Amino acid sequence: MKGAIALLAASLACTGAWAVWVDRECMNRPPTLPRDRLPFKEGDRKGYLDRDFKVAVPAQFFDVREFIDGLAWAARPDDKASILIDKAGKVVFDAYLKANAAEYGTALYGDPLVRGPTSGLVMLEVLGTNPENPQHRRYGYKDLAGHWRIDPDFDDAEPFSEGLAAVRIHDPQNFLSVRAGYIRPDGTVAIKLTFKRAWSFSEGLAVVENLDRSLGVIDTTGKLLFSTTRYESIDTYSNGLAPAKRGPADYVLLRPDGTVLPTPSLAFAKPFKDKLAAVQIGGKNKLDRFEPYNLEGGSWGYLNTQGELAIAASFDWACSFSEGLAAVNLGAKSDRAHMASGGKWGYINEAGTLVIQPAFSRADPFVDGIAHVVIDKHDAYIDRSGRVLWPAAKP
Amino acid sequence: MTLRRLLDWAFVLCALLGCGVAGQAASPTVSSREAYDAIYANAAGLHLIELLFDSQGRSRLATASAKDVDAVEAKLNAVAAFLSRHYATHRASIQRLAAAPLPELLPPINVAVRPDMDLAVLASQASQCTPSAANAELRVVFSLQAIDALLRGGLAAAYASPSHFKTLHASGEATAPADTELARRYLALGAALKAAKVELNPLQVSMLMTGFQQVEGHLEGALLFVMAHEIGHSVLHHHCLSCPPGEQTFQRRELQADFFAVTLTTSTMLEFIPEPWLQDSFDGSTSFIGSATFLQQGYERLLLSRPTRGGQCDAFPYPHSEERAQAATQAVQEVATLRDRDRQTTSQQSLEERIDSISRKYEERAKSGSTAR
Repeated sequence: MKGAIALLAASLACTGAWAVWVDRECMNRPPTLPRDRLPFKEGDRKGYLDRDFKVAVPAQFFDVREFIDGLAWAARPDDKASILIDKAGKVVFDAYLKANAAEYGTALYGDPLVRGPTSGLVMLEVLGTNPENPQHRRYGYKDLAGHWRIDPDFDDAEPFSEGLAAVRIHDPQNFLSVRAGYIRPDGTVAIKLTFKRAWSFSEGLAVVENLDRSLGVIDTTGKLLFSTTRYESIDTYSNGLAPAKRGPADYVLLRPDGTVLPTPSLAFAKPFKDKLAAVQIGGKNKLDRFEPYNLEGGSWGYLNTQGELAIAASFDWACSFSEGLAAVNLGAKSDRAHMASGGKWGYINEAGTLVIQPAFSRADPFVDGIAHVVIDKHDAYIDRSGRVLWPAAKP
Repeated sequence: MTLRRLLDWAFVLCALLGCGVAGQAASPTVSSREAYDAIYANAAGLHLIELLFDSQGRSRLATASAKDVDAVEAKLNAVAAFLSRHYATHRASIQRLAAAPLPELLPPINVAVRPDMDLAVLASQASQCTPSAANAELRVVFSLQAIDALLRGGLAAAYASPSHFKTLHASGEATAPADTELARRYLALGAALKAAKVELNPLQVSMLMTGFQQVEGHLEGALLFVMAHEIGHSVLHHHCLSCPPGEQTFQRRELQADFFAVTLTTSTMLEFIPEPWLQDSFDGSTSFIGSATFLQQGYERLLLSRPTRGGQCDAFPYPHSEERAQAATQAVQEVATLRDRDRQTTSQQSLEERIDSISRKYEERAKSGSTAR
């Protein structure tokens, strides 16, 4: 057990501050426009439909993801290895490096979940670059021709955002000793690696963790706008505000200068989207981690950029707005695995009115007028009125 | 880094559930091969245990044959060779800690087992004065009874946790495994190792090392400590000095030897822990590589802290076990401090070198215009 505790402690040390939170109920990276490819499943294979819901790419993959900037990650049917495909289903490049083992180790893990193509460079996670530790992962960037533009030299990295990518380097002998900074698409250093951690730029601002463990916010020149030990984590800036965790079930919204926007007491806050931020208010804290899944009795609403509750906290879960609609849940409870479970999802408009009644077990954001939902364990696409566009009702 | 966050938690869950991914995140300070070798070296201790105990954990020493004695002696010599090898590595840090005039190299060690001797006499016969280090041969003599007492005492009292050693045994064990149980655990670890052969995955390595550490603290570790202590007397040239003029000097020499022993064994052990975060988690509180076991169990059992055991140089009592434990604790702490300082300095240098190297690479590429390959 002591060993397990040591592993646990070390793993917690790896995770560091909670600066980015994974929203498991709401899609983190929605597809980009034009949305003319829609994932579908046929038997045990997946492919894509076009906007007329005709098969555009036959169901031939083990798994597929939404298209972002014209490209999508898919998993090969035979070995489930990651590949990057275009809208015709053609393989742009095979993320599995087995055929190229001499170049960088023996295997490459291209994460098809969240690491999408950005700025023409695809971030890839590679195994086997460190002969001392074959399990050690490193990160690099390929262009869409499949060439390495930036070799997998980094021990951690983010996709490019606003022309810069956060990268991190460990001391090979001591992975707790790290430096993070930002690079340009040609690999040259834009902001020196002088931080302990660094996260992606958004609206010209990025959150960093300084070597003294304080958090800071920098601009694209690397200038530190403010530094603070007051917060456990700071999320992405959006609409000029960033949610920051002050303690268990205690969130505030920070301005770029580090001052706090006056708001009601917040148990959790997501970044702004379309000038509204989903927030959780009230509730009893069960555990410091896994927020906001650990709150009992809280409810969700939406704040505007003045910090006022624009939509009353009356939902059991809430996703961010997209194209004027937001998915909300009525009846959800966090389960023992700290996941939201139960309840039904519907959509509200910016006035807080339920415009699509809760009837779905999952509801993704609207993109290009279409949203993916799950009805009775079956995938479906609906329009803004809630009408099911696909699959067509059987005559 | 959102997925990384998920992976981290998956890692935690896997660590708890045993999915076999331990240690993936860290770069080893020694190669994985060496870590495996260390485990096999630990497993070599099984031979001694198998000599001393049957599969039910019963002592065999009562009826030890000459062959058994030879085998025990061979094993002890292997332990001595192990210490000798690693002494060279750690000489500098030991010297800094002990501030003693250490010879350049540890002299060859010859361990002998004498069935008719006891540990009380050992101190006076442990070594002969060797003013010339080049010609020195350190002779450490053990008695079968001493080994038996040490191991049996360790086993019998393992986890019994006398109150004055609470701080050293804050391992959280609620129950006290019997002798047999401990011996069985050790043998089971050996069996697991043999079954795994060379196909150990990192989690198995971690678990086996933890297991060995726990049990070694009561068996092999105690032997390591006692041997390192005796070697310490030699290295510190105590044997070349005249008999101590008084109790205080005698006890100070004993504490110095303890300090040396703990420093050597702890430094060596840390070298074998491949992952820095595992090194950080090693606080020595369960065994100090045997010193706590020895001091807690074998020491008082052998009545070493009582005076008048006879012998020209043994007229004084050894320091009280608690005092010796404090010296051991101090040594472990100082090793940790030195290690952290060294690691920080090394880290800083290697990290900056790597950052410089990567920065230069892309600057040159940008200048030459060859950005893709």
